[in-house]
Amino acid sequence: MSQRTDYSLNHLRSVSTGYVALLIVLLAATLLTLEAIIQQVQDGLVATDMAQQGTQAGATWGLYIGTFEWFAGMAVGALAITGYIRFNQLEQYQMVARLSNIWAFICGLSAAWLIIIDLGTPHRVLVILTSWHETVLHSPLAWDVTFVTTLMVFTLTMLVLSLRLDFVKGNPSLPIQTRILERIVTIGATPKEVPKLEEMRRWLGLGLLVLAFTAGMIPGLLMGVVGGQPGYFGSERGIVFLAAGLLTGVALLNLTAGVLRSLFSWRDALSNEVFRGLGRALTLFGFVYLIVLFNDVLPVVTDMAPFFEGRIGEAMVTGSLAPLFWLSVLLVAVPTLLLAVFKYRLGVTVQSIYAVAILLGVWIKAQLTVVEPLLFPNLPAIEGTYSPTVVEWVITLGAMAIALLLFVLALKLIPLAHRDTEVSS
Amino acid sequence: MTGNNTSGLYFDEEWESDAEDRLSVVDYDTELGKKLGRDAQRLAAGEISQTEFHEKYHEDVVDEFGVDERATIGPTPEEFGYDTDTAPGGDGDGGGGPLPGVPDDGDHSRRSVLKTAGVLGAAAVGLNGVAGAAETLADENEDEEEVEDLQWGMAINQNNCIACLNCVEACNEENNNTPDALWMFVHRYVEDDYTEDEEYLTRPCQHCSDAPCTAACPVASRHTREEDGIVLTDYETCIGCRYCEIACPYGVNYLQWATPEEKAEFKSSGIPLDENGEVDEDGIRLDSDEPGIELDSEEIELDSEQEVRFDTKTKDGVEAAGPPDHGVMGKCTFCVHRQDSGREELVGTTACEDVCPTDAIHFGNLEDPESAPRQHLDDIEENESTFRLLEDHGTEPNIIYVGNEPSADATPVEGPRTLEDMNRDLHLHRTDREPVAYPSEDE
Ligand code: SF4
Ligand code: SF4
Repeated sequence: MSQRTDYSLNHLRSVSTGYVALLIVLLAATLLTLEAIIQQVQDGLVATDMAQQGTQAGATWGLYIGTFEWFAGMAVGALAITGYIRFNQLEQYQMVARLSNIWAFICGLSAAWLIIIDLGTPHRVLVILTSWHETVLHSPLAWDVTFVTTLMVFTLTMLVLSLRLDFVKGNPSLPIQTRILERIVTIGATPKEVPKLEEMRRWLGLGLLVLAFTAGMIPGLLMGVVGGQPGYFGSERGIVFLAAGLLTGVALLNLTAGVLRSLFSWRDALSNEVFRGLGRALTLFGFVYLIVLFNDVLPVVTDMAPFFEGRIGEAMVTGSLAPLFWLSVLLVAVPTLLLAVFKYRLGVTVQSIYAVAILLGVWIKAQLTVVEPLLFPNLPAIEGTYSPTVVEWVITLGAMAIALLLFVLALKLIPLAHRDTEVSS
Repeated sequence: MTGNNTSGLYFDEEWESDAEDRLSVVDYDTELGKKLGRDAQRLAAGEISQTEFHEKYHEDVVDEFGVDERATIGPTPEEFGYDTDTAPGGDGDGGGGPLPGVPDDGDHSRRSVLKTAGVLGAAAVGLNGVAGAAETLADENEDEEEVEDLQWGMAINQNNCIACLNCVEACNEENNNTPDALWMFVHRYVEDDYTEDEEYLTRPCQHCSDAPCTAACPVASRHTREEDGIVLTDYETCIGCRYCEIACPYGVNYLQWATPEEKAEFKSSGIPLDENGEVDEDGIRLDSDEPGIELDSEEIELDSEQEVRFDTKTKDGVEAAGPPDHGVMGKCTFCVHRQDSGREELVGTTACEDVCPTDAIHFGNLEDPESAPRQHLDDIEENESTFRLLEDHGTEPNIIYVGNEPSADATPVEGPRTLEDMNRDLHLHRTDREPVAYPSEDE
């Protein structure tokens, strides 16, 4: 590993064997995913383990929707982080802002993708758009489409605007693909517009923050407005979702920044100070998540809870779903406590491992949130079961692989921070 | 419109005679009923307050019925559009509703006079179900002559059900569904650990008047037909997102997970036949040996002028009858192909009703006092209770049950579908699914 400590644009150019290997693995995963998707489209959703709630003793939504919620949460979290850094003009965190900007877009895309995958007739997805004007008033899925589209438009605008600013401010020699990107985003730009661009970036940052803290709750409310399933309905759903999203967003950035720093040793753009900040955010949002979770779960496990809610709470806390539930809690609680006690002292690598645990913990809880209520019908029918099929696992993990693939490809196209001149290695 | 309608209220001669007709069939005071009906309109029009209304009739009601259980302060006219308390089987009869509250067990006909009064009030001003009972008057601003609104619905008498599953089978055959799509189902359950008594719940789609499934649908594929209240899925636009299933508290929606092996030729008893009485113009085969309605090809005289439809399209051209396509949501359609057939002997019937050997299912127009469900509800013993399923969900179901509603912790027991049946269905397309067991099996 090189001893460089300054950020260079070298990640755009260098193609290491490790990178090629990763690319091959991710491409293979993508092909496998496509194969699974083809199978699912041909056979129908029968290729999954999802089944009707009630007489088919199943859960009618499963991994795809759970993972959608997880991706959508990360998208909102990353959106908020980008907005926060840009609005407060925290130059020290500019690489984190760029990374979170890229991730917000990719996560939004992945969330949208999983919704399409989940449809029984995915080719009809465009019907959502054609009937949008009449359904947007009442259909949570139509709100969701609106929100995810807005999120992607906003993050893309921020990406273009901030890149334009970086390119206008300095002009090191760039590899061809980035040069093309530069040409596109700097059409008509002159150095004179720098102050104006800085202002725009700042206020767009505020826009992203506002979006995250308002419409950002919509994917959670996707369920919160459904009264038919005990355990779904509730005005706190949006907040539970947002808390999970902020936590996973920060965890994703901790992980990405940690890996990039250990690969490239960028000790200026990803300084110890930056990791302290990310660690603090992880601790804070870890606690917020746990408190919100506690508030969400506690009322349903008391004996006074309405019967149907109580039954789900019981299954989660002491019953059939308890192992998964407690695992999901521990995966978040342990790292959060360790971070609170040891702070930054355990180092970047450990912090990255915490981030992985947290991402997994929230992912598990996202699955439970979707599936739990569906396993317990309102009418006297038997409890459902759900164990995802290979096709579902391949498509779900494949969605994560595709997101990572998009990210590593973006690393070859998009400068991660502003540089006036090229640093030689 | 003639008569006194200066403020949008309608009490002309026709109203009078209609009121008299309706009220003459019950044992109680016709005049009181008429007065109540008039003032129900005034209340709805905001001319008098609920308290005034209550005070004005409290004494009369007590005199006549011996009881009035209303709370003095009740909901606003908007809120009483659907009053669960006055609905049959509602737990606190009349409490808080605009109409005098009297318990239904013990005296069925005294409720009839109140229901009728409510209908008379509601019909003219278009309030949906002021009486809150069997009457769910559909459309707004209807003339009083048009009391004959159409709202298909059912009265299902659980006390008659013997769980023979004829209805379940007839439904699947009529609609050519795969055996795991149980548009009609019979739940079997026990209420608590101390009794062995098994009870049944016959469960089609409730065709709710305030159906959450339609609100949840992102493509407006799930919709309620205005003219008759049937809740349908447009198979051509449904994207298979299953949101309707998530939003419905009754578990009546069935996605067509797999491609049915042979894509349903939709056999329907109303298919126009050719001269041999067997095949319609579209080549769809009619199998008159199927259970369901008995068809004798000799008897069916097809008038070429007569409009008879029979494919998977409804009369409005919506693809919504019979089995859904691959990846598309299906559920009970109230045999919409029959309702739209234009054939007298089929309109107002369903496959499940036809085959029920104990006459537990009564399908018909809930707006029409002469209809099978309304007649059945009028005929039941006075001490029999009635309910609408999970009424507190506010879905306004159009199935009225006679019997006891299963409690929240009712335990399902094996059958009428055996575990074997159930697991066969579960493994029909998914050989790897975990087999399931009824809770009682575990114990
Ligand atoms: S029972 Fe369910 S599917 Fe049928 S109308 Fe009501 S909410 Fe919709
Ligand atoms: S499954 Fe079909 S009918 Fe049901 S909500 Fe989705 S699009 Fe609408």
